[in-house]
Amino acid sequence: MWDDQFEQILRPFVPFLGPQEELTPDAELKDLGLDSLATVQLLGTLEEAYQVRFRDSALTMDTFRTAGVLWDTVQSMLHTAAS
Amino acid sequence: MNGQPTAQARADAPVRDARSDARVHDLLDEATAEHPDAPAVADGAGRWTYRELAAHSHAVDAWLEEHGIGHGDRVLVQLPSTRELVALMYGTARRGAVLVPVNTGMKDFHLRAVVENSEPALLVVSDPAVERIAALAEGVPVLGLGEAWQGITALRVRGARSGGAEVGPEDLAVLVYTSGSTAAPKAVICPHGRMVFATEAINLELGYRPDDVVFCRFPISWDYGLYKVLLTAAGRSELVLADGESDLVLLRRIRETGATVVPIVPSLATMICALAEREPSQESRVRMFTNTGAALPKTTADGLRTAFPGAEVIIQFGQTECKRVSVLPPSHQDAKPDSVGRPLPGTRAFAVDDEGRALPPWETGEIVVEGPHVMPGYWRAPEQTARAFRPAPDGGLRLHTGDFGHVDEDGFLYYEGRRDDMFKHKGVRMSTTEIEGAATDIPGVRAAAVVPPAPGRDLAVFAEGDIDPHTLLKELSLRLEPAKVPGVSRVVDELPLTPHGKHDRKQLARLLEGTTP
Repeated sequence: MWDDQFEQILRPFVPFLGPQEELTPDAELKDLGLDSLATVQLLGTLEEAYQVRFRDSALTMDTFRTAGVLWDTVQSMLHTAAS
Repeated sequence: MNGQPTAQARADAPVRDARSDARVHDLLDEATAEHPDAPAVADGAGRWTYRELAAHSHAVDAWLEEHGIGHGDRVLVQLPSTRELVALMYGTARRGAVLVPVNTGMKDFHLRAVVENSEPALLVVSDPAVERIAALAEGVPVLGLGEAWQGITALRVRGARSGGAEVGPEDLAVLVYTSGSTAAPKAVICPHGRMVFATEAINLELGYRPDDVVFCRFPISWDYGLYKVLLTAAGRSELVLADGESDLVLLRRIRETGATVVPIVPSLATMICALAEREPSQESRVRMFTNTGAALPKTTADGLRTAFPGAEVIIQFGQTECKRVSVLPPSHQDAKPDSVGRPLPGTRAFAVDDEGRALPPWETGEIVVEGPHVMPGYWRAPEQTARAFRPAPDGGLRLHTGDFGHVDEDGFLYYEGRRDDMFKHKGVRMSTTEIEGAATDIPGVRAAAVVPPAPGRDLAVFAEGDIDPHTLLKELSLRLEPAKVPGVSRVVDELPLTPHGKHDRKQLARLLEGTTP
């Protein structure tokens, strides 16, 4: 599962998810209200917060489909950066 | 390919005035005659020359004839913006039939109303949607694009032509559904001649050229995208259809495709700027951004100029009812930074008082528009047509835009706001009525009020009933296109009313103060 920072960053971008509702790894972010402008802004916010850079191959809507996929992508970059 | 510009409107004397007696497909045929092997249209899957596009459009014409489609029949299409849709558009025009392009994001809630109102003779939709849409089309044939395209391809391979059709400039080419001040969408009637006039008049200001590559991120179902098809033909330019691509690669696609012209709305410009900050200082050929939809904040315009050195940012103003009201040429931007431009060549736009008398410069009134670009009205909506499209004192029609503003002593327009419940959000025109209509359709909602966005405040919905705020938004997203779904949702015990029994939006707006969008 992801760290707190990730969830803190993500929640403001998914307005249809209530503050008491759980963010699940499989929920479709688009259904929770993530639109294309928000996706671009989320990309920039994550890159800055985690000091990573999304590879071109990761710049697809699939990467931003669910919280689970997105976190896996961020994490894989963190590992690459650490090694 | 001939690289000579044909219409250097701003530099030289105008080549010729915009025509109002031509047909939509004449634009394609003229471009094909002049530059048959120049690229006409590209999408994610490939590219056609003008000769290829024209051949496909003839095949569509013959295919429609085979399916019994004739003069004045409506052909409703709910399809992604690809080359096939462009061919369908020109082929339907050749047939003398009427294209009804519907946004792929339109939900059944509105689509049912559009089918009822437009009464199509044929629907062409994406393959997976055939069954769903057939269920709401009540007996009208619904074909998947896959099947339709097989038939069209077979005809093209044979070089088939239809028996021909008489099509005149007064005949309808397209019905463009837009948000109205009613709960259901309404259609602007777009005849051939007026669409061609609007196209050529716009191009006198913008000057699309044969060496231009126009990057269109907007769907053809929106008139902003629709007219890019016509404008690129008028300019003998190449159209790149980029709707449906990932916005995360927008910037890269703009660079890769060699785009020289990028039509924007403010939110798209914001995305481009955000992406440019990630990947600064790379080569690009962009020479012109053209904005519409809403006022472009100065910081965003400056962001584009920084990221794309040498590119101009052109401000435009308009509405589907006349396609475009005005364009602000770059040469006047410094002198008139707050203007939304001057009326298109061959047209008039000015402010009037309540009696319809033209107001002197700097006096605020409703903006009205006259000229060959004013469309004849709304489809099957006589009352709304009579309100917005009134007889002009000098003959023809005068469009009452519902926009308020003034002109200056040089006739440049300044926009100040709306009179009714219409507003724009994410560049898309919508009304509080239509969002409220969708909200009260949700089980559990007794009443709903919508507060339009304002600086520092996002589009908001208030509801009375047994529902939680997030469910309200989720349910709205099932009924409305994404841009129309509010960012803020509140459930209250009772909606405040004015003494006249209307929603007290001022009081609701006060409830929102202190919240961040």
